[in-house]
Amino acid sequence: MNILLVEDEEDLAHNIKKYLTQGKHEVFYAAHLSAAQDLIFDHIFDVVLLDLNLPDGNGLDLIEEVKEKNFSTGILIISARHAIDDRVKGLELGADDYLIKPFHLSELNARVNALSRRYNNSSNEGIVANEITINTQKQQVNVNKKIVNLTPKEYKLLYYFITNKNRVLTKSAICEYILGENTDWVDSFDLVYSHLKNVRKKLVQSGAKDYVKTIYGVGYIFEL
Amino acid sequence: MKLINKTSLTIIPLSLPFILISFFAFHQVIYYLNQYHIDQNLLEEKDHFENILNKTKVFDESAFNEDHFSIEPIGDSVNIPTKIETVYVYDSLEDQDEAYRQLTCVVHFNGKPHLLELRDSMIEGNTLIFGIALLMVLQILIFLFVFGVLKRWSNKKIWRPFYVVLDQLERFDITKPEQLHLQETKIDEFEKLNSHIEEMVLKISNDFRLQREMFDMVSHENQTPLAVIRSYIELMFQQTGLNQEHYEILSKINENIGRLSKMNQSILLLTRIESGKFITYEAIQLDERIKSVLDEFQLHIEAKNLDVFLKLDPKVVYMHSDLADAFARNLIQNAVRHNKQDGKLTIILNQDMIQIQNSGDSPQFNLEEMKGKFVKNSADKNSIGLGMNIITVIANQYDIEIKYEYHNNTGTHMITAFFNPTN
Repeated sequence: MNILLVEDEEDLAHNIKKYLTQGKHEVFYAAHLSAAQDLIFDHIFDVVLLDLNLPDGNGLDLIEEVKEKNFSTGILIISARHAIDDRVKGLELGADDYLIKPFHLSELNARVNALSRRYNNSSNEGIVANEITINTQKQQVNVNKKIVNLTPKEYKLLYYFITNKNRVLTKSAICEYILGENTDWVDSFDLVYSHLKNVRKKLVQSGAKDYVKTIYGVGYIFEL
Repeated sequence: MKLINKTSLTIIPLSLPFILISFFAFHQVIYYLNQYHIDQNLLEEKDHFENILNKTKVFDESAFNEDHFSIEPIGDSVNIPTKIETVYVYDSLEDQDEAYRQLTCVVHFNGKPHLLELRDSMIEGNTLIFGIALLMVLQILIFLFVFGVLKRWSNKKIWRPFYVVLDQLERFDITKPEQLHLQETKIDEFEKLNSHIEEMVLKISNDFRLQREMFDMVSHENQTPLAVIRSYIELMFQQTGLNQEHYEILSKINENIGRLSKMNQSILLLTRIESGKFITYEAIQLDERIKSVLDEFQLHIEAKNLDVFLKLDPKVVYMHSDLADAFARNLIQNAVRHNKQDGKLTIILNQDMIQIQNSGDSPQFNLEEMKGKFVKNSADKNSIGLGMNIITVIANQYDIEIKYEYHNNTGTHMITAFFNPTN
């Protein structure tokens, strides 16, 4: 997957790039609006990660250009601004998603994956993890070609784990991805825990191996 | 005491001595005028007497129809000057002494000196005088009263700009400084008062706004370093060779970054609301919003096994859409988080109010303080206490009144938000 990252904070950009690259994505990087414009002109991207606070302008101005170049490029705005006006404006202008800093890299990764699959026809064959297949178009999970019935939250969980396979996922990261904004307090994870338990049980019952490993006191890892 | 009453009533102690003095003075003046009049009459009578006595040789009493007189012969040697004085004569009918004006002089009759005493009653005159004086005073009082009323009315008008200032200061809201409207006035002192207040308000609201903006900027700027730290932590997690202890340390750091970030975002929201960035009014179907926010908390409600009771009438409010969400979310979040296991959660919505009840322990803090301050519930280490603050600030913007109660007998916290009838 081709990803353009537009972010002026160098350290952050470097880390995002590192994380995404581990997932076999190709990440191009621009720290200024002008540099981003050049890259957009020269390439077609699957996903554009857009920071709004750029030194030489507002990232929102890029949205139109990106969409003009290729309509099925997914745009994910990453911004420190919780400003709802920005979010609304961004979505109105054509952005597909909005993530507020600080976010978990694992969440960013999951959303980037989801975005690319929204538009990109070639990725329709789904995500494969040994015997487990996810058909993202139908939001369906198969184990050895047999359908596994998962609730929407369970599906979301599995998707998250598989797109971030072999990475340590903290409980808070998992929580935020599943529950959204209402994770202000510590016992939130217990809510997610039951869903995780169910997913693992259903997969194992369908004949899959349990790839989820617990890291005590910290989180989990989907080990392939 | 109210100013208008003070200025009106001071006239009483001021004028009272004046009234008393003028009563007495007036009374005295007329008394002496009357007395003078009587005395003149007595002198005329004396002349009349002397005339008659000179013309006749026989004293005929019937020729005189004076009230009182007496004439007595006296010896030559007595030299008595003519005088007029006040005497008191006992009247058996009235059973009291009555005042007379008496002229005493020497007259000659048939060549012999006689002492003549002429008396004239003062009673009628006195009664009249008293009546007149009283009337006079009454007139003054009426005049004063009418004058007082007119002055009071005129004072009210004159002082109007001052009352406007008082009223405006009472309602003053630092987040809405443009609502200050002072009355134009030609009175120098009030003009000065107005302009000083306007200056002060301008300065205060500017300072406040700048402070908020800085707060806003700092909170916002904080997000980026937090994001950077978090990204490093996540990369650390992926390193090989980490043991359990390493993982736990990283996990704790991550958790705290989360807390910092949430606090930042709440502060950002608060400062944005207070700086008036959300002044829009859209029609919001509040009952629907509540239902959808409640959905978001479904898992939390299930985990605590809460008994949820809803009575939601269709209700439209005019607010910024996201503020309506934040309002509903914070109210519900507060009620869910502070609820007991197996507790009860009730939401009532009608045209006048929205009320949220949750079971819980009695609060450790002052109920009213909680609305305005950053209160950390120490039992919940992740509580950042800004939830109530956000609710209060949003309510303030839309003139919604918030009441907080705790019922000991049922162990229920109750927050009621009364909608402004114009909303």
